[in-house]
Amino acid sequence: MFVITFASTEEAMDASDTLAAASVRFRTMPTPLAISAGCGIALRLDGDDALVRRAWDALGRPRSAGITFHRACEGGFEPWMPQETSEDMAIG
Amino acid sequence: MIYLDNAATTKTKPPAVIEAVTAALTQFGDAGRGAYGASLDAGLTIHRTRKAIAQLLDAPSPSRVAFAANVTEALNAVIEGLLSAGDHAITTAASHNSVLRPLYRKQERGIELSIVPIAPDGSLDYDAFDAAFRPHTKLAVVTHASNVTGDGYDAARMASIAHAHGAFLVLDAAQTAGARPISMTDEAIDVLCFTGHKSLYGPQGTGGLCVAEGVEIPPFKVGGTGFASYDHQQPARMPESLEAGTQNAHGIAGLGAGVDYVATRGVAAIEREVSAMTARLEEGLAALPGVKIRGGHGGAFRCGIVAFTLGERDSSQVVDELAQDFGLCARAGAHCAPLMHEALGTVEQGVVRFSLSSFTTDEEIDAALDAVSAIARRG
Repeated sequence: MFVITFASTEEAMDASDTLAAASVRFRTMPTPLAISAGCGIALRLDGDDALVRRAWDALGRPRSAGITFHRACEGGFEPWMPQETSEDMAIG
Repeated sequence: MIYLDNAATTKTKPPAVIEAVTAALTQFGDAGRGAYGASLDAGLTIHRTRKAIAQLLDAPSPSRVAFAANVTEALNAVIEGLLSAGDHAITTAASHNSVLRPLYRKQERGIELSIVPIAPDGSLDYDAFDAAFRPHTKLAVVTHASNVTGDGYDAARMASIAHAHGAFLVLDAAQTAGARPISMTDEAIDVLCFTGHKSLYGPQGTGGLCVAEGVEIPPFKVGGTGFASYDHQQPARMPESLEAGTQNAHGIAGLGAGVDYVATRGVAAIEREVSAMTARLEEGLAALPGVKIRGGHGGAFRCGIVAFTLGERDSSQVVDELAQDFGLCARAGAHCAPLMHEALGTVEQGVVRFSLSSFTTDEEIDAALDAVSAIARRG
């Protein structure tokens, strides 16, 4: 399970619309207290890395502190960032 | 009823606006306060209305659109936030009290204020506007179109002048947002303040401001935002930096439907239709005995407003007769724009103001002309 957190409500709403338009399945949830985040609304992705990668692409491959991806792990969550591919390096 | 007071508020709303508000009242929770359906419905509606407004007004991005209770609150937020003691500000005599009073209050608190005159024909001398700027001018707050005469002023030209002096251009678009095409980007407007309940056909209690990138407005109202609860400071980023407290999501839902209506009809098409009816109304009025048209032809463009006096008669008396005998709704008096009346020479008498919308019909124009004709003949 993965969670996307945001710096503001507006960012969360924008991401909701963007992921819905990209046919990425998600649901909203209150931001887990284990994650330090600005906005109280988080998006939950139940799937594998491929799904999360699609979400990451749809949201413009964020690397800033605003939109942050987290992977559920034992004891809580850990930050998630896709492994860099040669394509990412070329674009980045 | 013949409703010709659309510059005050548009009484006839698109059915979709009423439906949107009704649906919101039955469905919405509090936006940004929960992750459940009812809260998200409100939050997504607010977000989508931001997008629609940003698109309509060609604002930098949806996140640079902040909602307010009305254009007055938006203007107050800008004036309060951007001006400090020692700054200089400029406005024109066409300004509404929603601009004048906040500036007067700031003047009492140490800003310097220059008011550029308007000529009796409603025109603005742009050289005089340019000459008003000083090294410490922080911003010019100007009306896009007079709520008294409909005379419109060249925002792009004023922005260019302001920027040449290192100042911001703040545009009061109360009479123009939705009534004529506006591009914040192309016209280089720094802050555009709009109301939702006039030519955007939304409910009263809606409005806001669009802020260019690089312009940061400290909030004058701080409070809950639904996130960052442990921070003592209001969030620094728009839009939430300027949106403390529960938003008027019901009203914003209606505003979104109104913006959709305008965008679908096409702002330019609405402007053409209203302009044609305005011209016909004015032509008909001008031909009536004792009627003197006030302003309307001095600006860079003209909104759907016709202001006139009837002989020496008190405008309030004329409007009262129009309402009582003909069921015609119009506004009289000073219209919250005292300096415009000084420019027009109508301080004592006021003016009768007819103002149109995209829902005004030719039959209403004909009926208005018949009504004024009848009153004019009474002497």
